[in-house]
Amino acid sequence: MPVPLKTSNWDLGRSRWYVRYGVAVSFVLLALLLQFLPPARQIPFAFFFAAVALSARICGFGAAIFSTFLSAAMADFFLLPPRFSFVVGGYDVLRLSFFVMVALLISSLAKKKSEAEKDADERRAQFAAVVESSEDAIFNKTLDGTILTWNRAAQEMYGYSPEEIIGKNVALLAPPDRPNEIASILEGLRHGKRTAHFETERVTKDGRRIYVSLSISPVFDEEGKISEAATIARNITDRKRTETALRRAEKLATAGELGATIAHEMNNPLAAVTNLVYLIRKNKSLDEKARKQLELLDQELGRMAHMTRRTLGFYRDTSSPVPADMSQIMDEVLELYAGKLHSKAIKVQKEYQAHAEVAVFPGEIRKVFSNLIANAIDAIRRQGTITIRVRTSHSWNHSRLLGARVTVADSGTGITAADKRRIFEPFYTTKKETGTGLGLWLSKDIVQKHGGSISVHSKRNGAVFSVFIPQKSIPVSTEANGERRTA
Amino acid sequence: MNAAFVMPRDRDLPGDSALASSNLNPGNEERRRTVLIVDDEPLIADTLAEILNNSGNFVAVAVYDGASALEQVRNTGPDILITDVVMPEMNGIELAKAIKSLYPKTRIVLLSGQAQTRDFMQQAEHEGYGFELWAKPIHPDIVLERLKQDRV
Repeated sequence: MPVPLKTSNWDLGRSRWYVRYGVAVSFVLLALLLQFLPPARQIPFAFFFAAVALSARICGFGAAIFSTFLSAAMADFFLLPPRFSFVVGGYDVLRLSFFVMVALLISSLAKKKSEAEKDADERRAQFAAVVESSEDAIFNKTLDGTILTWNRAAQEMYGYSPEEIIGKNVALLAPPDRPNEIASILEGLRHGKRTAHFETERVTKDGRRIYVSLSISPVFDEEGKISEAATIARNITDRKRTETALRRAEKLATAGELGATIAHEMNNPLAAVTNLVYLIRKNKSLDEKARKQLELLDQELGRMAHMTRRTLGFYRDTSSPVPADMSQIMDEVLELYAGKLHSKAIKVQKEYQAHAEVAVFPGEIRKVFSNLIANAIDAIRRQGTITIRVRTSHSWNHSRLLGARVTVADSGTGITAADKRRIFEPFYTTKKETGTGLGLWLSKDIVQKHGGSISVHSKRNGAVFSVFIPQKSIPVSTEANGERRTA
Repeated sequence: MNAAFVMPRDRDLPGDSALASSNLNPGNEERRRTVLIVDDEPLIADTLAEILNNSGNFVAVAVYDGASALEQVRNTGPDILITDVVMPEMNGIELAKAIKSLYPKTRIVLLSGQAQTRDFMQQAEHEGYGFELWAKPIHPDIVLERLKQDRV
């Protein structure tokens, strides 16, 4: 809202020169007229002082000087003896000089005052422009919270126009779960307390919650009393979200690292135990029952070895792409979600084509599949089907590009058109409590890094995510990491 | 542990091992291949040596650090070196390189439970070394089977 310039109505400072001088002349002539009135005879310059003062105030410094000398001339010609003559006698010279001096003093004081007012006006206009163009919301309020001013950024941030909100109470902006916050800020203000970079939540007109950083300072009036408060609010929602996501990622990384460390530590004892069990099994003095039990022990050890390898695989990736079967990676991911799938009574229907092998960073692709499966599980409230198709395919965009296509279809709630448009954007989540809004964004990033593409379709009975990863000719890894078999 | 390779270790003859009976090394009947096993965890090295010796196809010796391994191969090189990668002082890759330069014919197998080993391996590959890397823990049956075959 533009702050109105506070210019005095009684100021011709910006008018044409002849207007100002004309008005000054008329003041002097009026003074002269009044001076002829009987009571004024005793004080010959009284009305002329008034004329000079008015000219100085209204018509400017030049006009005031002009009216000073015009007044002196009029007084000399009409009032001072000998009348109708500019000749002045001894004592009257003194009186005239005294008048001119005092009138000049009045004029210069008036000039100083009007200059100060002009400066103040300019400063106020500059300040108003700064407030208006600020990226931060800036508004003033009384000490009981009634909003007085409201800048453009405030309108953008909170959604209310100045007309809607001026005169309303700031409590309108506070979320219902923070009822006492504004009251205590206002109480602090009454005691002259500033609030600096106070991070809190506010609610916009359309009900969105935003994070803001508030700086609130008391505004003092001319008598030094606190009359109102100025608030500067910065929208820090994106920063807060980034912080939360980073904290979460850090937690996950720490968990991953911890898991990897444990897996590393477990591999050595596991290797020794595996060897020992093997040696014991070869012992001929064992009876049949002990041999059977050792066989079970051997199988369980195999499971443990599988687990540690899986943990390491998830945490540490290869430094260059290796050929990997997409069905195999998908199965490894499904194994991780087996518990969740079981508890929600979700059936998994696999339609795998053999040899859907492409060169990838397996750990990264595992993250993508893991995101898709987790989303599919979340989309199904209870009892449903996730259909996973893995096959060799051409790219939809470049039909000559060969690769593997993996589709994950759920029988869940589907995706609205509005969500569909923004689903791959960072921080966009439909899972208010649990989602970071980063899963699909990261997935898209990973897939694109592999030169592939990811897309989503929504049907009446669920959503279908489709990932295409192009084939690349990368030499086969030398790692001979065979799955162990039970003897 | 100062046993030389020539020292026969056939106190345990091939038992009921299916691998031993289906001997795929004809003409190797009289000469069992020599294996040097290096692991800083004695239990792993010793048990693996015992398993290989029991199979009847190998003469295996276990040592627990790189220096002892180099001492062991001063006169003759083993047919096969199986070494742990992450060890104090001299790591498995340094040891493997040293032995390869002394005995180019020795088959070298690195055993590791650490994921970062893959990067070391790639580094060694760039330098022209063809080492095998097996993930640890590995089942003895698989060890025997892979050793029976030539290099993969």
